[in-house]
Amino acid sequence: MELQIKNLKKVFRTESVMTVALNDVSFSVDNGSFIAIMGPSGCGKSTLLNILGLLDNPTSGKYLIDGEEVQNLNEAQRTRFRCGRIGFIFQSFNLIEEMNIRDNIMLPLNNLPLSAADKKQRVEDAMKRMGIAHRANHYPSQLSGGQQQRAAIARAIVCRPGLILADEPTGNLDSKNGLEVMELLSELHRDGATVIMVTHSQRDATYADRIINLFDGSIVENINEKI
Amino acid sequence: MMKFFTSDLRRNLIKILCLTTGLSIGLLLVARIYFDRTYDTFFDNADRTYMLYESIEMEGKYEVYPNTSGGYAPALKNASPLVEKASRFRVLGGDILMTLGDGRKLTMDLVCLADSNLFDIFNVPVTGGNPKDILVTAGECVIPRSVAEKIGGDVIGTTFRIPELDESCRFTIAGVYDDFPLNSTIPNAFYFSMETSPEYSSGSDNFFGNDIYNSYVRLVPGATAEDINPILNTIVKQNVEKNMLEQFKLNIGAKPLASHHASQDFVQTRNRMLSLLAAILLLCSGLNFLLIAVGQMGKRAKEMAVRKCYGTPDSRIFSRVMGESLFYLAVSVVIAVALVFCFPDLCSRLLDYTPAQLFTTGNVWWTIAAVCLMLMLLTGAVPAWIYCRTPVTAAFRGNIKSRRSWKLALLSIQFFASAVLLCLLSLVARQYRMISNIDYGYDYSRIAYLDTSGANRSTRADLISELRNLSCVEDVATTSEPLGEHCSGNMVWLNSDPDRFVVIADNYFVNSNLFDMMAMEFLQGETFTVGVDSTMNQVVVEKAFIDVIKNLSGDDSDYIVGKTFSISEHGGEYVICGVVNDIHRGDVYKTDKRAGVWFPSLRPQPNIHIKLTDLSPRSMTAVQEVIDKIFPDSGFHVVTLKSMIEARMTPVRNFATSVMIAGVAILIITLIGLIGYISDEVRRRAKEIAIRKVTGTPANKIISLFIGDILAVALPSFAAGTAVAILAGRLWLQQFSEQVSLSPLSMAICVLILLILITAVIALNTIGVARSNPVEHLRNE
Repeated sequence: MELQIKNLKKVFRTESVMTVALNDVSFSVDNGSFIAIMGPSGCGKSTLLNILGLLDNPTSGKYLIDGEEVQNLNEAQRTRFRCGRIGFIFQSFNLIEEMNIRDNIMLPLNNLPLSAADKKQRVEDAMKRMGIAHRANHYPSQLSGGQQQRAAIARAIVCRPGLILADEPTGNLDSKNGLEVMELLSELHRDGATVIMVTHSQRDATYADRIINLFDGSIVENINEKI
Repeated sequence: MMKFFTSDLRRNLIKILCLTTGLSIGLLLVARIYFDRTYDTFFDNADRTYMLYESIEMEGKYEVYPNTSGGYAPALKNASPLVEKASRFRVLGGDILMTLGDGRKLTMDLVCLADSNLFDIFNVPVTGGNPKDILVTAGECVIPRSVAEKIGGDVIGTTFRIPELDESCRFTIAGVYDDFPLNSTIPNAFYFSMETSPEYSSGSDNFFGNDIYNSYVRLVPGATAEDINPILNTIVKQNVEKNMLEQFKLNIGAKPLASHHASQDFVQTRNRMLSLLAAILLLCSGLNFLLIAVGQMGKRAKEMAVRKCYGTPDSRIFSRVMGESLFYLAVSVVIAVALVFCFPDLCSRLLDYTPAQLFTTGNVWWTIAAVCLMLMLLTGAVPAWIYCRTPVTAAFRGNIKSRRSWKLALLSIQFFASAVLLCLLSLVARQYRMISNIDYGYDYSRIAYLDTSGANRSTRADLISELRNLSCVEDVATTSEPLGEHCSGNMVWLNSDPDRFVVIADNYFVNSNLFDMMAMEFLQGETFTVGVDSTMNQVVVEKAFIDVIKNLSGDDSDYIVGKTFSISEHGGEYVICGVVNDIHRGDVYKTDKRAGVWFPSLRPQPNIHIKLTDLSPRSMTAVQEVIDKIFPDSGFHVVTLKSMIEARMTPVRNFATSVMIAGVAILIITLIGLIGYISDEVRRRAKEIAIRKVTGTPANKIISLFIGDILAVALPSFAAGTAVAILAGRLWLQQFSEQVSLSPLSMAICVLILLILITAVIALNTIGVARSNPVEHLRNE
C-alpha cells in the first residue's frame, strides 16, 4: 500500500486553548516499507498514526492512499475504507475481555463478505502463525502479555491487510516478548505488508527501513536505515 | 452526610424519580384495595356481625342475592339463643323530594324503612332520641349528621312532607346519627320506622318473595355461620311451600358482614386487577432503583473497599447502604404522597375516592409501611449484600463484575411488566369500544332525561304540558322506572296452566307514545290503544317474550299479539297488543336478558323523557328553565340520556384510564431503566466498540449489536408478558355480560409497538458512540 502525506496539519481546539499536534508534515511511504515513527511524548506520533490509519481526519493537508485522496472522508466512509485494508496493533493490546481469543481474532472478518468456513480457516491460520492456536478458547485475562500481543497481531493480520499500523507494540512487554513481537512484525513486512510503527525504543526502530523523528508536530529527521 | 446523594446527583435523582413514579400510583392502588378490604370492619363486634343472603336456582342458573324476605332475621332471633341481635331494613327509594316546614326543598338521596334494632347492631352514636323508640314510631325518622348539617343546626323535631304524598302526611326528624363511614355497605339514608308505611308490611311473616330486605344478625361470642345455617334451613322448610322450594331450591345462609363487600365478584375482579397493577408498578420502580444502584457499583465499591481497609465491619457497610435506601424511599414516599394529593379529582374519578379518604382509612398506613419495608429490603439489602461480598482487592483493581446478567434480569422484568400493561390496555380499550357501541334497542341521541321522584303528580303534569309548548321539544313520554336499568322480576303464567311460570323483567308503566318517541320498532302489533290506562289490561312485550309464550303454551307460532297471560303483582289477565325489539337492560357487567313487559299509563310517571329537536346546550337550558319555574328549589336537573348511558360505562373507562396511567408510568420507568442500562453498557463496552470500529465495523452494525443484546432479553419477556396479559384479561372480561375476543393480533401489535420503541431508544442512545471517533475511547487505555 502506498501512502502520500502532504502538508498535513492537525489542530486540537478547546474553548481556551489551540494545540497544534501536527504541523506541515509531508512524507511518502512506498508499498512494502517498514517505517518507525519516533519522538518524545506529546510530539504527535500517535496523532499521525491515527490519521494514517483513518481513525481521525487532518485539519488540513492531503493524505492519499494508493493515489486516492482520503483526508476528507467522513466517519462512515473511513470505517468502510479501513475494513479489511488496515490492521492495528496497540500498546495495550485492546483485546475484548468478554470474548475468547478465537472470537477476538474473528472480529475484523465479521465485516467481510467471506464464507464461515473461510473465516474460520483464516483465524486458524493466523493463530498458528502467531503460535497461539492452543489458546484459542482462552480469554485475554488468562494469557500472558506476550500472548495477548500475539493475539492482537493475529487480529491485525487476519484480514491480510496491505497496511499494518502498530502503536508502541512492545511498550507493555518484557524484552523477551518484545523481541518476539518485533520478529513477527519483521516477518509480516518480509511477506509484503507495509508496516508503520510508533515506538520509543531505539532497538525496535532498527527493524524499520526508515525512521521518522517528530518533534512538536514537525518532522525533524527522516532517516533511511537501509541506505 | 448527603455526599452519597450529591456525588452522583443525576443518577440519584433518577432513582428518586423512578421510585416516586411507582410509589405515587402504587400506594394509591394499595390504599384503594385496603379500602375495599376494610368494609364494615369498624362497627363494634364487627367480627360477630353476619348478613343473611338468599340463593336460588332458576332456569338452571344458580344466583346469590344479598337480600332476603323480611321474616328471616326476626325468626332466627326467636329460634336461636346464638343470635344476640337481629335487624333488617329495606330501601324505599332514592332522590325523593322533601319540603321542610319553612318551605325549603331538599332531595333525600335514599329513603329506607328499618326496624328498631338497626342501631343496636350498627352502633354509631345517635343524638336526639333513642333510635329504638324512633324506629317504632310511624312518621319519625333518623337522618345522617351530614344531612342534618346541610339542613342547618338543630334539626331534631323538624317536620317535613313529601310532595308526592298526600298533603296531610307529615314526617319528623327525631334523631341524628353519625354518618356511616364511606367503606360501609350500610347506606347513609333517611331511616323511617317500618310502621310509617302501612303499604309495606314489616315483612316479619314473609319468607318467600319480596326479597328486598337487608337482614343482619349479631351472634353471641364463639358462634359462627355454621351454627346458624342449619337453623335458617329449618326456618325455610317450615315457612316456604314445598313446591316452591323444589322449583327454586331456595336457601338462606349467613356470612360475615365484614367479608361481604370484598367477596363480591366485581370487587374481587377489580381488586385482583388493581393488585396486579400495584405489584407491577412497585416491583418495577424498585427493580429500576436496583438497576441504577448496580450500575453505580463500580464507583462505590472502591469507597466501600477503603472503608473496609480502615476496619469498617460488614454490618456497618450493610446498615449504611440500608440507611441510604431508607433516605431515597422516604423522600420518594413524601413526594409521591404530595403528588397524589395534588390530583384529588383525578383520583376520585378513577378510584371513586379522594386521596384524603383513601389515606385515612383505618390502619392503611401500616399496610403502606409494610409495602415500603419490602421495597427497602429490595433496594437496600441487595446492593448492601453485594458491597459486603466484594473483596477489597477486586474493588481496588476496579475488577468489579459488570453484573450485566443482573441488570438484564432486572430489565427483563420491566419489559415483562410493560408488555402485560400494554396488552391489557389494548384489551380494555377494545372492550370499552365494544360496550360503547352496544345497541340499546332505542334511539337516545336526542333524548333529555329528568327524574322527578317525590314530586307531586299534578305539578309533574304541569311540567310536561309546559315542556310540550317549547319549540325545541318534539315529544315527552314518561316511565315509572328508569329506562334500561335493572328491573324487578315478576312471574308470568297462562291461566290454562297456573303451575308453570317464567320470571320476566317488569318495566312497569309507560306512556303509549314512548315507543314511537324512542324509535322502538314494533315487530308485531302496535302500542297501547290511545286513552287506554293500565286497567284495560293491554301490554307491550319485548321480542324475547315470544319464547316465553311459546314455552308456556307449547305453541310454535311466533305471532303472539292477542295472546293473554297472567302476571304476579299486577293481578288479572293481560293481552299483548304489540311486540318491540329487546332493549338492553342492566349495566356493562350484568345484562338482564329476561323478556320485558310494558304496562300502559295515562298518568305522568316520575321518569320523564324529552325528545328535543337537537341536543344543544340552548335546548337543555330552555328545558331546565321550565323545570326551575315549575319546581323552584327542587334541585331537579335535566341531563341527556346519552350522558346517563355513558355513565354506565364509567367503571370500564376509569379502569382503562387507570391501566393507561399505570402503563405510561411503567413505560417511563422501563425506558429510564433501559437508557441507564444502555449508557452503562456503552461506558463499559467503549473499548470494545472502538476496537470494532477500528477493525471496520460500521455504525449500524454496532447499534444492532446493542439492539440484539436487548431483544434477546426483551422478546421472551414480551412473550411471557403477553401470556400474563391474556390470563389477566380473561379474568377481567369474566365480569362482563358481553365480551370482546382476546385478539392475538392486537396483542402482537402491542408487542410490535414496544419493540419499535425499545429499538428506537437503543438506537438513539448508541448512535453517538457508534459514530464517534474510536481514538477517543482507546486513548483512555
